[in-house]
Amino acid sequence: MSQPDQNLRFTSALASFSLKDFWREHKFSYMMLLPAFIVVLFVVIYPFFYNFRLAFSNLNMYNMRQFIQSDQLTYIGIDNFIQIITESSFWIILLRTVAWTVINVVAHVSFGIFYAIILDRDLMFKSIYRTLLVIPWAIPQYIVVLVWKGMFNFRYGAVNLLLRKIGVPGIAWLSQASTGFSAALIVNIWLGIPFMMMIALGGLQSIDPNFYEAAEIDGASSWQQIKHITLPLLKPVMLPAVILGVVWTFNNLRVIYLLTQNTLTNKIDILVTHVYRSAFEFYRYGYAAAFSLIIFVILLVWAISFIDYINAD
Amino acid sequence: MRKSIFTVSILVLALSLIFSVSAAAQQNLDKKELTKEVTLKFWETLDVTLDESLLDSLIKKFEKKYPNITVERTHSGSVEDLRQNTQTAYMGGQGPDVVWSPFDHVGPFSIMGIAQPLNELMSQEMKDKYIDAALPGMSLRGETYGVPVTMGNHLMLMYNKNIVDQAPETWSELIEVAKANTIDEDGDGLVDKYGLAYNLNEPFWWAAFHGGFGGWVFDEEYNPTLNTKATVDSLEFVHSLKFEHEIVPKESDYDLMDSLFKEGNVAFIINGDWSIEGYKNAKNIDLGVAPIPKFEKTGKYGQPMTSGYGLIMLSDLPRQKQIAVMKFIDFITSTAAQELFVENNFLPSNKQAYGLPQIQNDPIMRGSAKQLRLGKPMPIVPEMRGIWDAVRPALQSVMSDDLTPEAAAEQMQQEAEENIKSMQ
Amino acid sequence: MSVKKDSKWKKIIFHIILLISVVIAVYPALRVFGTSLRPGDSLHSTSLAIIPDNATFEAYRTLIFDKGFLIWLRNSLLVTFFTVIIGVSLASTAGYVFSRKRFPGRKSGLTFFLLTQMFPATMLLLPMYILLAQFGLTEQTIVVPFLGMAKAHIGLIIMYSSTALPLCVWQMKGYYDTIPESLEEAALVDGLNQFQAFYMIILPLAKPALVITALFSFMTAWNEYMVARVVMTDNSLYTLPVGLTNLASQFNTAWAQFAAASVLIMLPVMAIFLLLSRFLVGGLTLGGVKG
Repeated sequence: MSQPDQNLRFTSALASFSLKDFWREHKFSYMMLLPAFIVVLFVVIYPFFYNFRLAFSNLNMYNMRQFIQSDQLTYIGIDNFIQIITESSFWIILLRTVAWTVINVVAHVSFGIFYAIILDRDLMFKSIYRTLLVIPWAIPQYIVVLVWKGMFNFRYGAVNLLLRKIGVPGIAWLSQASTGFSAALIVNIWLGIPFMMMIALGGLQSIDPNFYEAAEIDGASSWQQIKHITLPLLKPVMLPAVILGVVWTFNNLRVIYLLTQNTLTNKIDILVTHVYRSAFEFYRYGYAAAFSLIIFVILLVWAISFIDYINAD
Repeated sequence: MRKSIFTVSILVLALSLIFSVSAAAQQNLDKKELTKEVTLKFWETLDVTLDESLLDSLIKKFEKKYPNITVERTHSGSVEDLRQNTQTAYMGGQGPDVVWSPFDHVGPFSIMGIAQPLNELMSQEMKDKYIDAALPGMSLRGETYGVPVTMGNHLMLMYNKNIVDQAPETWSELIEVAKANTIDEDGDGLVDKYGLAYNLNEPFWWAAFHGGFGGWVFDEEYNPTLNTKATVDSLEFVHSLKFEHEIVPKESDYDLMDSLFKEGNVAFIINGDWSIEGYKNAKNIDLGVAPIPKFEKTGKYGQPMTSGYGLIMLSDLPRQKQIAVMKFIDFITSTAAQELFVENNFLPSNKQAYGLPQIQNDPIMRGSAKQLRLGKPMPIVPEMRGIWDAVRPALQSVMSDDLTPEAAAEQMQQEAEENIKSMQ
Repeated sequence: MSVKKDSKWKKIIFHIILLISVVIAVYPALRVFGTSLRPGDSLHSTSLAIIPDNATFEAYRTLIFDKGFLIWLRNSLLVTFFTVIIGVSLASTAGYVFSRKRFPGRKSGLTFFLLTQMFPATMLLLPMYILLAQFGLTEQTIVVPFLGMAKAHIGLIIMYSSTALPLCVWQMKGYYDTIPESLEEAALVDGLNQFQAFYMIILPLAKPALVITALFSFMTAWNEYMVARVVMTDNSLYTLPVGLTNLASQFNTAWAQFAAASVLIMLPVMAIFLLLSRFLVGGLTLGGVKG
């Protein structure tokens, strides 16, 4: 719809707003939307406000009893939040979480698109490759992360065995924070590529082949075609995956928790592992709820600005 | 005269009132009759292998004895899971009725009001069934919150008689033997067989060394006492095992230690009573059990922390369920039932069970019992969490040579104090 | 799909890259498989060999015949099936509306769907459980005897659907965005109403996005265990992930069975992927519409 038409429509709508017309206009939209909305609402509102309440309280093991018996809480205003933000470790952990997220998502998306492009071409055994490459996503995470942990063992792990074969001395992966972080990155990147690959594969199908034909005729190389046709046209489909990928990676408890459980405790924590420990090991529920709210706000602010930025393009 | 008779009668009346009141307070639930049909929800985290052979067979016998009680058993994958699930379910009003817990669940559960105080519910006869160390193991602040079923959960020295024929008395002996058994078989520069393996970075294992050097984690008021000579000495000691004597693998967690031992690639390990059955059944192992050796510096044997597993009744149960749970607890800790636990290499809580031939005659059980006597009960106060969480990173740093024992001891103390403060 | 044919050398390079990638992708899974064959429940082994000495399928046999694996499988299929149905139908309709229509609350509505994901899941567990308990959706009572579906299963289905919806709605919307609106306009001119235009013309063109929605809903329900393990207390109602934790213990996890179960859990996912990936790379041409 062109700009002048839109303006006209808007002003005439303002002038003659009626509920009946509104409903008739948007009935289809709201009706189609309602079921999904209700289902998600069910799981969003109550837990969110439950934690919202806790965040302003000092709920811990000692006053848990009153809370369970009579829903009584002692409110302490924004004390939790102040305490969290003034802890020096908070900023370090936040920085680490951001680095963790950025590196992971960039790797996931790049490799995902890379494999999708290759697998979309005319190649033998395509479907076999595709199915095998999905295995990291398909296999239950708990045991495969533990297997990876074993693979990073200094003496017996497969990774060092391989390195030694090519002449590199073994690395004590899970004994230092720096190498431990790299190990965690390797595992999580391994886990996350198939998902992005699938999304990209689907997205590639939405690109009209005529574009490529035209580019061929114009003499564009494969690389130029990818750069100017494929990548831009993948955007609408990759965007939701990237946003959610960022959110999931930011909040990924399992990989770091399992890998560092008795190797690098507290040393390469990201925000969620810290929250988990406060809540479930120290019973600091008020504190953990406040922390979770902070994480939530960080992600919300980022998501909104990111969406705006992309749409402004 | 009349006055004194009057005074005496008042006294007698008062005294008898007092006695009758306290007698009424003792409810002796284990002796009461059940009047309704009851279904008990029993959550446990026993070893998978024992669920069916041990628990289910006991449950069947129990249900036969009390036809109007049905027991629904639910298994949890780990102690952590069990604790969290019990809490979550309880808060949602759907909690279990009785839970199989390690002793240290008593700390948080009692404070949060999840565990039912049992002093007044148990009859004296039932209380007298147990060895002296049992009920105090699950009591805090003068009140009992659970009934122990197995005692121990303690670490001991285990060895493979296919590789070494006896256990050494002192650590220098062990180190010597271990060195001789740390071999690079194929000459590729990498060790293939180790003399010793244990869970290097886990505080629970280090605690045995700490105790052997005379250290302890708390003072009487449960303030942390980690910045001591004993801490520094024990940290130095475990550090030397890896870096100086090189008898342990560079990185060894529980699963690796376990796998190595089962493969027959390590002579000595330090592991707990829960692993005995698995090793007895392993093809490559001829199992021997002994106390953790003496440290030359202090003349003390290794002093592992001991605890155990028991049954906790959840609070706010209706009276009939309470009776049913009490009977269940009574049954599981009866001598006949305890025999099954002993057969699976656990030390019982029931006094009489200690007379069983399995304990008297089996050298492995004797070794386990010997070690238990040399151990010290682990504090079950929730502050222990703060200790473990402070020890763990410092221990890890010492074992990767990133922190000196002195600095580590200071760090542990500071973090423990912070952790405990944050819990309040 | 690119129309240009690749040179032979290019193809060889692609094959090499893919082969190396497949090895990296598959190796850890092979180790899991190796653990499932190893007698004696050892998670790790000191040898690199995938197939251990004295390999045996004993773990599989015990798992399937002695443990309730088939029951867990049935329960998982039940919960997952309904999650997928709900996920696909709700996401395809909601995504369409977000793509095509402009209405008040559209932008906030889209952002709303992202909100659940942003809160750390560990803190959602407790209130989620309390909420389900209040509606009686944690009870182990069976409501549909023929399928063996319990109230608790319904609770899980609702929860899983809502967890999967955000990505699916966004995904569908993104895909619809690439389909020109001229197609609906043509359909409306031909006399179809809005819903028919959606259902008969647009939806079939969005097959790849539907595949992803289905796969993702499937995986969400298939692998979730945090809430399931608190809610499920009756053995006969366990889904696969909960059954899996049944094989674990603090120190003496039955690794062989655990690994065997993991391998078996993975197979249906692979099968469904294989089945549906036909639509993922079907090579749809939109050549019918110019303009």
